[in-house]
Amino acid sequence: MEQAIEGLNQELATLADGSAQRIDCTPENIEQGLARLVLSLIELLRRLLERQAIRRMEGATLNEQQIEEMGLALMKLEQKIRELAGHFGLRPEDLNLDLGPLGNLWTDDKK
Amino acid sequence: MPLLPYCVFLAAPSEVPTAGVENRVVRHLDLAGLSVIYSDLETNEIAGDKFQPAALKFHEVIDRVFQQRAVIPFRFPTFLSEVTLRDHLEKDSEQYLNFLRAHAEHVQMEIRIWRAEVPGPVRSSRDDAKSAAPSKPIGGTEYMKRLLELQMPLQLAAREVQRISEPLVHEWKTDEGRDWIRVFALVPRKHVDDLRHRLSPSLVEPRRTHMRVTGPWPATQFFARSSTPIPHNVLSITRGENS
Repeated sequence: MEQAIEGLNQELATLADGSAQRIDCTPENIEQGLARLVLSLIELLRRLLERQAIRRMEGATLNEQQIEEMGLALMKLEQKIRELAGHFGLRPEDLNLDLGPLGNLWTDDKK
Repeated sequence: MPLLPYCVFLAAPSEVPTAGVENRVVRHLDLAGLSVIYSDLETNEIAGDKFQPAALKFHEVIDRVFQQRAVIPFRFPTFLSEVTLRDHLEKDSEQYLNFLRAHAEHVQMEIRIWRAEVPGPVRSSRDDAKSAAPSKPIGGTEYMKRLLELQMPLQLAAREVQRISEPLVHEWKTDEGRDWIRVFALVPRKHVDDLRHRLSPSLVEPRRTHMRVTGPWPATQFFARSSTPIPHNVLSITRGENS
């Protein structure tokens, strides 16, 4: 029961924070707003690519060289996104944009 | 005044609460064989401290109807004009009708499986907040292997969940991240207790993974996106669980 209540509180907290999760571009923070938008989309693509890469590895449709190249590319992409997000003062969770009625850009990692 | 729609269901006599969010009257709109219930509400009326109680009340209203029949909830909070709501229902009525008729007796159960710990150097997005890149340089193959290793116990647990409950389930959907998998099962309402019974926590290896079962919920994960941008998501308020 405690877990259920905790889960509910997390969901509500997420919803309550919804307005703050939207892109907020003002003259003062235009750079961060744009960076957030661009990095969010890149992060979404990275996640999709990562899933696809794992599927292909499981399905044994990649040779050793392809696995190495794909792994390097994904690893560098992950590091670069993290680095750029940090540069603009963004936390990883800031990249999960609130799309309003459509929900968030990707499923929240929270349990 | 804008309105806050709760949910859509097949037009039929249903017991609906009279008062909804902020104690506003719950109204009916019947159109093209569908019913939608809503309350007149301004967006700023549920701001700040009122947001959480409003969310609870919103789902309480939906739940009252869901106990009687299949519903498609709106995401909280969605504000529309009556004209927009009417247009949406008229445009997408066939989609709603087909789904609600086909799944009148189905509900959604959710099984969340997540890793018990996060080993490095491949880290989850949550851990990324705390830590930078891998402490030691690794190759691409090693990186991919570690990703695969992280996913493996989750995939195994998800497969076991599906195997155990297959006879009861009409349809499956899954969503996954590095640290978690969400398995959605569309099941006949009458099989909910049986499904819960089968999905005991002992199904998963507790040192490596945790599992939580929640539901029944409206079958939102199985409803295809509508052609117009009206939401059908639902806040996952936990009604009951095995954990």
